[in-house]
Amino acid sequence: MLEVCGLTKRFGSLTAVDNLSFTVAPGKVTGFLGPNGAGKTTTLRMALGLTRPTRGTATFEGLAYEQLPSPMRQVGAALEASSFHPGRTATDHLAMLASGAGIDQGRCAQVLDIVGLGSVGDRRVGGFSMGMRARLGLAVALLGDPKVLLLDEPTNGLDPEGIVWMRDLMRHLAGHGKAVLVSSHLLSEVQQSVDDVVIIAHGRLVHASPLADLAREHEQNRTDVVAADPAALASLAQDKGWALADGVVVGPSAAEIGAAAFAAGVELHQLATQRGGLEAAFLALTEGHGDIR
Amino acid sequence: MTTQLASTSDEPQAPPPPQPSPLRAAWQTLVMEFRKYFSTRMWWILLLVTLAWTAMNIITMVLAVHFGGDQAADDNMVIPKGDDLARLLYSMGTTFGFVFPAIIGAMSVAGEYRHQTLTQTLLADPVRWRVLSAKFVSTVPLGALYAVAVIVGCLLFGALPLALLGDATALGSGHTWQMFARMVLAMVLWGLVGVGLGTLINNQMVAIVTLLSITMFLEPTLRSIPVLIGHDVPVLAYLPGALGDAVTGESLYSMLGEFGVSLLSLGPAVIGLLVYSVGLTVAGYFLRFRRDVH
Repeated sequence: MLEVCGLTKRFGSLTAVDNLSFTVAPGKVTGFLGPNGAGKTTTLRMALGLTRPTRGTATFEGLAYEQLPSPMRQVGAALEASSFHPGRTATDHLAMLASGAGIDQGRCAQVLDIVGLGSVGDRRVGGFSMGMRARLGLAVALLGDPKVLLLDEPTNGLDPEGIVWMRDLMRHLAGHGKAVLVSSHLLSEVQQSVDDVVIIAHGRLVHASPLADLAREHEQNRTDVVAADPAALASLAQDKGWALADGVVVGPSAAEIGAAAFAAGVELHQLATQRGGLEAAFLALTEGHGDIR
Repeated sequence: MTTQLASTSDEPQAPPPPQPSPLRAAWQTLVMEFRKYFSTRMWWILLLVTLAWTAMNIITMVLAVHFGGDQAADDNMVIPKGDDLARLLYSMGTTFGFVFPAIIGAMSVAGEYRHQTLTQTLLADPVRWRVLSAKFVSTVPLGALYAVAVIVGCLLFGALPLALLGDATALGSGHTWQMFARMVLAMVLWGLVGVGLGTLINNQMVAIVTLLSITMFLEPTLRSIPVLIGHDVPVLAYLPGALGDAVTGESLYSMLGEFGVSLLSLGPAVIGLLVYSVGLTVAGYFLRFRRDVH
């Protein structure tokens, strides 16, 4: 389990991460979401001891990463996909890290099989595609069979088939009691695989809850309505107490709006339910100044 | 795929892995650094370059001294004879070859920045002073390996041609083999200086160019001062190249006779190069290596 507590990072006058607190529970996949530049990678790097926090802590079972008795066997991390020496083979890369982390060398072939690179272990990473690098990064994370996994945009570079595979893998890992944190700038990309969401914007927490709660909070209907006489529609909305702005009615279903308009004799030219309520909620949470709560 | 994944499963309540002993942890990191060295092609490419470079320089000097020695004697130069000449020729192996262990040492740190592999290195061992110490120690055998290439070059392209030309090879003298041993020491120390340089200057190319411009331009210029002003400048003996020559025990500059820079004896010279290497590494640790890794 990862506990982030009051984590803050300033680069000069820029506050990249601002008093951020959240937890990642075992047995669950937690989506760590926010637009590019929101501070996701900085947060992960602080949790892994790569970047020193200005304030606050990130701990695994109460210990900072560098205090863990055997860090790679307790926490697995896959950060950016390009950080391999191009002249080293995939197997040698893993073997080198396994030595440093005190992990049995036999594990290298195992994790290569798990990520689907079993047949290219002897090839130099310089010839790998983005997708293969992403898989190798994941192999590094899995090397120590850790209980906590931190995956930074793991689907970057993966083809659609790979993305589906990654979802299944994360579900599988959580099913085996692992705490999985997966960052993404798109809610839709991880929507199907996460249990909890932690949403940040401008380095600050804007939302943390089970995904289902976020969905429930934002399940209000949004309907595009175009009337022949906009003024008539506006007065109808006022009578019924609907929120109407920019031709969008928030609250009632399309059927309710249609029935009320018919009864009131308001001629409608369009009546369409907006799709992606959750994605719209995510955008609403993260746009602006990040203080929407 | 899912069946394979079963191998990743562990019990959620599995106890945390045991803490390795400090010695065990240090050994693991050292093995990681060795694997790093020997899992890319750079170590043996540089080894071949060292051999070729030594061969080219030594054979050129052998031929120049054998066929052109008399003309040079007209100048202020003092050209030694017999075994002394052979040893002087062999010593040029490190005079020219010192740069290769320094390059591999610098790359062991700067290369991690270049290829952004430092992140994963620090995930495997987040204790940064231990990682840097392992880089320092793992460079010792590399330096010795490059010294072996230099010595092989000296024997094949120095001793062999000398013997064929009927000149003294000095191989029967214990003093010569003692010098070869000191050449190994010099190359090892240069490797460590390289680690320090790469720690302080994280751009691999800039680190190497800095090394070359100091040792091959700045220092030879400074070391020619005594010849120009006509008396010794003792502080010049503490320049890294002069220390390296002192560790080897012979130097091209000894041909400058009484005008040459006087060299330190072995012990102080070894300590001097160690001070350079440790000093640069420690400075690099505090100024660079402890910094945030992005």
